[in-house]
Amino acid sequence: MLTAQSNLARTRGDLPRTIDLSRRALECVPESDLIDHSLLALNLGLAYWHTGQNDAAEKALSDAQQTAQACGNAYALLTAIIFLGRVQAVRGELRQAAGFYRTAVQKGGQVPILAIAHHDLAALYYEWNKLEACRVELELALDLNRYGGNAEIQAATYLLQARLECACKDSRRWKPYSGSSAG
Amino acid sequence: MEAIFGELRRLEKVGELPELARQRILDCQAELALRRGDLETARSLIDQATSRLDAHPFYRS
Repeated sequence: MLTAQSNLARTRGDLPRTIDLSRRALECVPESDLIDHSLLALNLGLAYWHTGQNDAAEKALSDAQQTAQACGNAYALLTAIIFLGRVQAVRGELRQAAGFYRTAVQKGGQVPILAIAHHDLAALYYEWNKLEACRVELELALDLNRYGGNAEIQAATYLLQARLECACKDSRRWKPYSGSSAG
Repeated sequence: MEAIFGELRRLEKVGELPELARQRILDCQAELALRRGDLETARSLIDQATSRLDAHPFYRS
């Protein structure tokens, strides 16, 4: 019952209640019930992440990753890996973040949740001024999101596309400083 | 660029976007206006932003 209530609370965006219910449910769920454990740990990790509690999010998401791997829950596994990447990204550990996203992409195939991994990889490439790689990842994100239809991810992808288009125009205008006018 | 913001307007009209995502569209438009030196548009867009606005690409809460 607590597991279902925790899922419902997260779906409704009630993050404090999600945290409370998930923690309580994790104390009750049998150790052998890895599926419920992985989903509860994932709910908890996502709720912590959305409320900016990065260290707690990392701990819960690592728990979700391990239990999801053990029971073969692909959705929980990929989501946990992607949000572990986001934990790193928010800390500014961009190379570690990229490692998590690439791991998720390699594991996942054509799964809608991977649209987030491709979007976030695109954001990293944008930060690193690798604009062509950014464009490729954005197209992959949009393609995958067609199956999942998450409007928020779609909007985030379009916004990054707009910034990319603008950056490409800027880079075409940019001319390297030659120093010839000096002296 | 018009096509991209056309798609974003469509998503807004469908009504599936949370408030923070809508705010981020305004934020992006303001950023792009600043890049092209259109200060008037940027100011108008920034005036519509809320204090909760967070432009971090990985963060939403």
